[in-house]
This record gives sequence, C-alpha cells and structure tokens, in this order.
Amino acid sequence: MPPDTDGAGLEVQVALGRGHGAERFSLDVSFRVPPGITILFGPSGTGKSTTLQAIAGLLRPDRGRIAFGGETWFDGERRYERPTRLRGIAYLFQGLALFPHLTAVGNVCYGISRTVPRPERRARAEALLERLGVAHLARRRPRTYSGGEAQRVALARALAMEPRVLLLDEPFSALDRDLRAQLSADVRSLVSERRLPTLQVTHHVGEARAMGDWVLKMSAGRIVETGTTAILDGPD
Amino acid sequence: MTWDPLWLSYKVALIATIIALVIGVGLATLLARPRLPGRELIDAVLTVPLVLPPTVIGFYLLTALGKHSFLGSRFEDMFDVRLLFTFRGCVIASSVAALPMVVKSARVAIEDVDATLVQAARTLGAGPVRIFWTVTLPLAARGIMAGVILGFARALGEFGVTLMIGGDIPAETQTATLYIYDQIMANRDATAYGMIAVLTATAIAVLWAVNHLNRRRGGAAGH
Repeated sequence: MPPDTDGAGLEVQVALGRGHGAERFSLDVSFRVPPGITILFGPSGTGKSTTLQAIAGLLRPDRGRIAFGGETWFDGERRYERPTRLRGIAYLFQGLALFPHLTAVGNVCYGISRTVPRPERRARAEALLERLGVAHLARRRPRTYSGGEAQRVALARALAMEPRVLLLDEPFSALDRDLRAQLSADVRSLVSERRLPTLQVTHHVGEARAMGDWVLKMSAGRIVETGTTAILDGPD
Repeated sequence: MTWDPLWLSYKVALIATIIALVIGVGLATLLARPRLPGRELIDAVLTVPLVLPPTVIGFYLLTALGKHSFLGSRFEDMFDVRLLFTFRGCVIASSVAALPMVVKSARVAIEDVDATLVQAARTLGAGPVRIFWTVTLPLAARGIMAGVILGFARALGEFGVTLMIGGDIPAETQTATLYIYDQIMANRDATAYGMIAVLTATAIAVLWAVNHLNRRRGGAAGH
C-alpha cells in the first residue's frame, strides 16, 4: 500500500481504447494518489499523459471512476463527468501553456477565484512569484522568460489557485541538470507544505528517484509495478 | 462635383463592418468547433457571397427582404421602416459582402489558438465564456482584425448588390462606387477622378495594413 492512506487522496480507475488494428492503444489503470508526490514512470507512449488528461477531465475515459475524497469526478456507469473547472486541479503542462498575452502576474492571477478582491489576487500572485524567485518578472510577458523562469511562473500559477490536486506532466524535461535539481527541491517543499496529492509523469529515472514518495511503473497502458523509489533501481 | 457619395460609402462600410464583425466572429467561433455537425457546409454557405454573381445575391435579398416577403413584412411591421432602397439596404448589401472576409479570417485565427492554452484555462477554473473573452479572443485578435480590415475594403467597394437593393438614389443610396459609374456613363469622367483616387488609396492602405498585421502575427507565433 502507498504511504499515508487516510482517504484524503485521489482515486483513479480509468480504462479507454483508441484507434484500430496495429495502431490500437488501450489504457487500463487503477491507483491512488495520497498526499505527497506519486510518480507515474515509464517510457513515452505508455499512456502517462493520457492518464493525467483523464484525471483533469480534458479527455473522457470509456470506463472507470475517478473520485477525490468523497467527491466523484467521473463515473463511467452513471455517465457522470464533473467539469474540469470544478475539479480544483493544478495542471503543469509539458509545454507549460503560459498565456503569452498576459504578464506573470496576469498568468498567476488567472486561476485565483474571482470572488477574491482584485488587489488581494494581485498580492497573492506577487507573493508566490517572490517565493519562487521570479518577482522580477511580474510585469513581463512569457516570451521574455528563460526556460527555468517560465517553469517557475507556471508553477506559481498552478499553486495560486489553491488546488486540491497537482498534476505535473514531464515538468522539468526542458531544463538542464542544475536547474532541474533546484526546481525539484522547490516543488517538493511546496507540495509537502500543502500536503497536496501530486501525480508527476516522467520517463527520467533520476527525476523520479529525486522527487517521488511512491512510484507507479507503467508499460503499454498498464501499471506493472508499484512501490517506493527502490523499484527504480536495477538494470533501468 | 460632390463628395457626399464618398461619405455615404464610408458610413455604410463602417456600419456594415461592425455588423459583420459581431456576426462573423460569432459564426467563426461556432465553425472552429471540430464537433459541429455540417460545419464545412455552413462554411461554404457563408463564403458563397465571395463567388456568387452580385445580381444573384441581389435577387435573393430582394426576394427575402421585399415588402411582401416574410422577413421584409415582419421587419416593417415591427420597426415601421423599409429595408430595400434605403440606407439600410446599402448597409445590408455591404454587410453580406464583408461577412465572408471576417468569418474566413476569424475562423483561421481562432483555430490557430493553441489548444493547450484553452485546456490550461479550463484547469484554472475558467468556463467557456470566460475562456472566449480572456484567451481565445485576445490571441485571435490580430487575425480577426486583418479580416475586419479586408471586410471594410470589400464593403466600401460593394457595387452590384448595392445597386440592386439600394437603388442608386442620389443623396440617399448613391454610394461612391455607384456615383463613379453614373458619372462615367454620362461622359463626366472628370467629376469622378477625386473619388477614384480616394478609393484607390484606401484599397492600397488596407492591403498594406493587412500584410503588416499578418507579418506581425507570423512573428509572434514563432515564440
């Protein structure tokens, strides 16, 4: 069993099939994401990102059930689907998906509930940018950021919405080793502070080992092994 | 000579462009939905004014909007105004001409908006309306603007349909293009020179502006 299973996590049971014949791809996974970082590890094309998209509601599974705490997000049998915007998911996309027409503050504010007064939203955004060491970008737009800076702004945006779950899709793949180590440490501390159930997709062993509390090893649309980061040791 | 027809033309083209902008962006948003049934057919119907002879469009509009037609009579009852052979007729003719330009450009511009940005907005709690105003529209604005400028030029140059449903009534529905035609037919070429020059200059300025917008857009997409 994964550590810390007090029911405060995300439960995922997802099955879907796409394409035909030799092109056929099927995904069938079932797992829990407790507070802390769970790694979804495996080579590209095994359905890791597809799984994240299904959890976020950006893609509709054929069958299964997704629930967070007592709240159902997807129920294949009852044909129920909770809209993405109501799930409270922070999703760090592989390409980051920062809004190019908004400043860093604009990007970070986007996810903060509009019931929060505007000055307070700005203040919260600025505090997070500060915390992540990119306060100097507050009034600048994404095309002027370096790779690491863009990553930090995207992370600030993801956390500003006070998510209930954090999904990270190959978050550090475009960065060099030093930057990767730095950011991994930042993410780890932010996640543990918030006791945030976090699912991180990666095909990079070093990253998985450095980040993960719990590892789900995936291959060809199935989870083939689960355990602590120790399962990553060996011939891989 | 008089400049009134030219002012009339600009007024007609401006109002027609605003109408085409609102309707065109709405339709383009619908057409950009990949799951809309029959969307290529709808696109073809909306684009048909580009290739249909003006007399044929004029005929359809005369039939649809005339005093005894369903639409025309309803409109007259409700607002107590006539559509055909009035300023409004000219605006309708020019709107029909401008609409395909706006729809075409806006559809491409909206479809060009990175789908991941829309997904990101959804995860950040935004509903479809907010996403439209805060992500799709600002990112597609440049392309929409290019279509709007072309639509304005097309509206300003509208001739055939305006002749048929506007009626070429001096000081009322005689736009610059109709005025030029009338002067030349009456062997008074010289009185049309000024307007010919202004319309030519407007057309060149418009194409320059559109090229400029498209170039900037290409550059921005590279990031």
